[in-house]
Amino acid sequence: MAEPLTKSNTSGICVIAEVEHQTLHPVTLELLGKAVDLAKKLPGPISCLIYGHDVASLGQWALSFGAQQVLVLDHRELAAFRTDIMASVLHEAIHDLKPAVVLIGATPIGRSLAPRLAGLLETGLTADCTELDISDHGDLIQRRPAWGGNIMADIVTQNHRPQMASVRPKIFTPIPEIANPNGSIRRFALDPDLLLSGINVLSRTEEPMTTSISDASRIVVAGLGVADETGLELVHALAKRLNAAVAYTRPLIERGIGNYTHQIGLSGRTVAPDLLVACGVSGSVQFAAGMGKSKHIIAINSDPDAEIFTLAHVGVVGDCYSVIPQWIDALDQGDYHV
Amino acid sequence: MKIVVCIKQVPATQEVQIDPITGTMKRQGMDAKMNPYDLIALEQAFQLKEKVGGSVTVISMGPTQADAVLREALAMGADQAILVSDRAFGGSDVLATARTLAMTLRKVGSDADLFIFGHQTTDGDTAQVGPAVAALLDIPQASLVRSIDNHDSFIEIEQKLGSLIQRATIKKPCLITVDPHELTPRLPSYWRLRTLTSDAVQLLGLADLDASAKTKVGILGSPTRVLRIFPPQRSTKSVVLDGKASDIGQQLVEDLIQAHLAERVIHG
Ligand SMILES: Cc1cc2nc3c(=O)[nH]c(=O)nc-3n(C[C@H](O)[C@H](O)[C@H](O)COP(=O)(O)OP(=O)(O)OC[C@H]3O[C@@H](n4cnc5c(N)ncnc54)[C@H](O)[C@@H]3O)c2cc1C
Repeated sequence: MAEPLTKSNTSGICVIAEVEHQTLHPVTLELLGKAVDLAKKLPGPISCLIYGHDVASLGQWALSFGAQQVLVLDHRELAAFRTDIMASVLHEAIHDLKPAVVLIGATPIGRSLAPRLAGLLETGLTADCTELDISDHGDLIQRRPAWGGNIMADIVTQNHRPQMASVRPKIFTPIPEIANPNGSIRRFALDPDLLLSGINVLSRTEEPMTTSISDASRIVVAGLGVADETGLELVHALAKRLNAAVAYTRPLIERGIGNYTHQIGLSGRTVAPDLLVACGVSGSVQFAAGMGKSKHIIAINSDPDAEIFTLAHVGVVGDCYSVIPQWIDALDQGDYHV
Repeated sequence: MKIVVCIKQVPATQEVQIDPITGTMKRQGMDAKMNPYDLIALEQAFQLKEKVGGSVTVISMGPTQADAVLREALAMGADQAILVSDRAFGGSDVLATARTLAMTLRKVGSDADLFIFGHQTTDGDTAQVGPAVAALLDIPQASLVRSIDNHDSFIEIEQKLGSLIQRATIKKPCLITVDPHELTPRLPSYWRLRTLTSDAVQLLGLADLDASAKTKVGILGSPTRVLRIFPPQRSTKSVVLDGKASDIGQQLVEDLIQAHLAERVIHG
């Protein structure tokens, strides 16, 4: 392999694109948006690596959303998801681009690819960052809930390059589309040896679209404060009246109250609905990591000092078992359309 | 078929403490349990062994107390257990952990067909160690696997990548991480647990793996550093309503209307 990547031979930010249904996954555009922001403090180009099969046309799109250079890794062998060869070709391409920072979406695919790539690059990787910034020394500050505890951590990759971070969808915002972007698109010549995979994909089927909690525009969340039968009934009734989906904090999932696809938070789903109602939820950092970008947050909690009130736009200090029925009543009596 | 499962001991409660100096978790004197995702990985391994024969080896990297989760795995039916423990491993981040495990697997797993990892841990929560180990061992890997069939030189798997279900064959040896699907782990046998001898768990330290790797493991071998930890800073711009107010229901409805999330139905 070529010379190792160091502080002195790397610059700029590279976003690894994810292609879904022959289009760029929204998280790619969100990461490019953040890259544009970070580039104000970090010299060097914003590049985008697009890998897959028949993906060359997507390069233009990446340019329209902030990339200045696009490197396309296009090959039949890259059509289906195979971590081994994908990590190998990306490893090669990163040695070609020499970015100081590599950003990747923390989707199921990104989450299995990023650590393999970081392993090949023998560099640090911070998963599920909720904020990114550049320090005075020009290092990438990777902010995420600390390992356990109700506390946040700023993490840096001091001496290794590139500095890698993964970010969930819906954390950052894309820039408005640029009408006539200038920038370059280059095809990367792939070494056939790197395309020899130990994996042979037999079939790929899309599961019938289950309504994912991440797509819901309104969500009512049940926390430990409403984890009994009556409480859960109230939460479901409120959700029905508000036309909202029901989601849970982790302790409820651990008790088997809901399926883990309905867990919000660091180890669950990230959501950014128009309305999120948190019932009996304390508002831990891990929970907040999955819902902080919600547009309107209403929290009902009996503890006036609960952390959730620092996240909510509207906080109700009170007992869910009395506030929820009153809320439903008011909605029913006044004949409201929600 | 020789199967190796890597498991981890995690805090039993959510209330963990952070060392303000290193930014890592304080593990001393804390109730601990096996990472729940690893229980699913173990169950997957036992079911495979029951189907095709062979053995299940469990490996854990951690402090000496992590011995407990290995004993639990033995009592569940594992054939061999190895604890990888050394002061030099303290403060490991993902890369340093992956290096330590890769060294271990090269030593004790050179004849293994399959390495199984849990999807993620409940304390670190990154889902990164398994894929990083596969990269270092230069073997193929698949994440979020929910079924495994054994063949001569490969395994056939099904993985759930978001809404995509992918079926694939993977050449042995290979590494998989297990999708947290519904699979009820078996209970440890009390009788087995009681009859385990004091040397049931084999202990490996840095010197047994590669004494020269000292700067590649632990805090020295970790590229990432915790710069600082701090309580979450949040804005308190919220409107606070009194839940005891008699018109609290109506106040909440008014708020929805103001936020354009509800509207009055006008009749006539
Ligand atoms: C690595 C890691 C990852 C994690 N990932 C997640 C994650 O993805 N998602 C997640 O949710 N958690 C996660 N957690 C757990 C997290 O730290 C908290 O323990 C959890 O979010 C707390 O859930 P809760 O708010 O439902 O319960 P609690 O913290 O127990 O809060 C219950 C709240 O209900 C209130 N209450 C009680 N009774 C009433 C009542 N009658 N009316 C109104 N309010 C009432 C109480 O005042 C309290 O504030 C994670 C933890 C770790 C260590």
